[in-house]
Amino acid sequence: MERKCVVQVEDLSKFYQKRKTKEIVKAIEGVSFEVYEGEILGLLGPNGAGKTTTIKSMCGLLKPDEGKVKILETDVEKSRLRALNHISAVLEGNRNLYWRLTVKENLEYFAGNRGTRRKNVQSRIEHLLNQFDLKKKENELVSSLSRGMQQKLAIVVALLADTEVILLDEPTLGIDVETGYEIRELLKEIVKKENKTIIISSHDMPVVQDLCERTVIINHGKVITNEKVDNLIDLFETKAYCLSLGEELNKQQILQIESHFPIYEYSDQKLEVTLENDGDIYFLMDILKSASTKIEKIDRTTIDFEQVFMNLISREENENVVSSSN
Amino acid sequence: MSLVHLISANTRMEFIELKRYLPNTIAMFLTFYIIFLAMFFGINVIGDPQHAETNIQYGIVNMVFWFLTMMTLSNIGFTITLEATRGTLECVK
Repeated sequence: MERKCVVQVEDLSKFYQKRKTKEIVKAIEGVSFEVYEGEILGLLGPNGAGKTTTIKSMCGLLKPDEGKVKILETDVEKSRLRALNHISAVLEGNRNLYWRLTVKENLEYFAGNRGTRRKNVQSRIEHLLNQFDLKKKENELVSSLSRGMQQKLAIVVALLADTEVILLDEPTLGIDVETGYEIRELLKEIVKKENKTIIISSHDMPVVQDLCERTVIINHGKVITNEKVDNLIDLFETKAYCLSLGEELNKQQILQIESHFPIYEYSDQKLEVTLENDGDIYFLMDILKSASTKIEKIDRTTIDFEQVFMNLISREENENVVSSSN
Repeated sequence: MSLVHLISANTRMEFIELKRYLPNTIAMFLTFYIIFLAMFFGINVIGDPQHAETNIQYGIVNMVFWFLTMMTLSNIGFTITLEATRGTLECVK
């Protein structure tokens, strides 16, 4: 079944002019991607890559120089208010909440700001407070809550609006491991039960790997990858093994390994080898068997999303260097 | 109708803050009262005794508008300064 496209970003470009030098700086150029219903998309990139510019354009906070953003077929530039009715955002930091109000007062206030009657949202507020385990804190001032609780409340505020799209900027930044895990599980539950679409901008790669179905990676203002997380991991997956040996390898063995395995590392009786073919493992065993080298442990080295991200970024950087030198 | 709920939510928030930070609220009204008294007695002492009644009426109206204007301006100024210090303005440019 084909999934409904909820957000369409088409050829988005934004340029800034430096105040002093009047030099034109490219923030993003030709950024295009789509987000589908019930999907968690990770918007990634190093600092200054153009993520925030893209996010701001999606929220209508910035007017792009070229291209457009459509949220449920509504053009953000042409019908800003109508488009923004479909999207709510939790931006990084704790400026999303009023610290002088209690948890419940904040929720009632933000519901009112969206034009909803206070009485009409009471049941939803109760439901969300219970879901996010904030019921006990409902009458406490936001200023007295922990960073994790404030972040959870900010997400509840975004969910209260009941919009189809939720934009989260660094949802787990500065939060302890336990609360981070809790937030991740809650977000997964929301997507599963309420079929919401979530766009996450984060530098926390384990979070992205755990939460996101697909990622869009931006670098130097351009989309360098728009692919499913699993596909990216498969793409960079190497058949690498780490062997802990009971004794040192002899010179003959090292020479044999060197000639057959271009990528290898050996130190302190630890051998790390990257195999190119499935049959190479038998050849490696033969080399070790030839001197009856004792093997204490064999581990398969797996690649995580952080390494995938680093590989993609460095590959793009290298391509840029090559194209500029040509 | 949504505009009514928007105004109601913001009025409620202001009311909650006025109630929650009572010393601040009392100090604000006290300042207003002291300035009013100063103006009232000032008109009586300096102003023309023949037009004292009219002057006081004008004075009250002027005082209310002046106070509202001052409050609005200082609030806007304070918010802009605060947000500029926090870096919010840079975030939305």
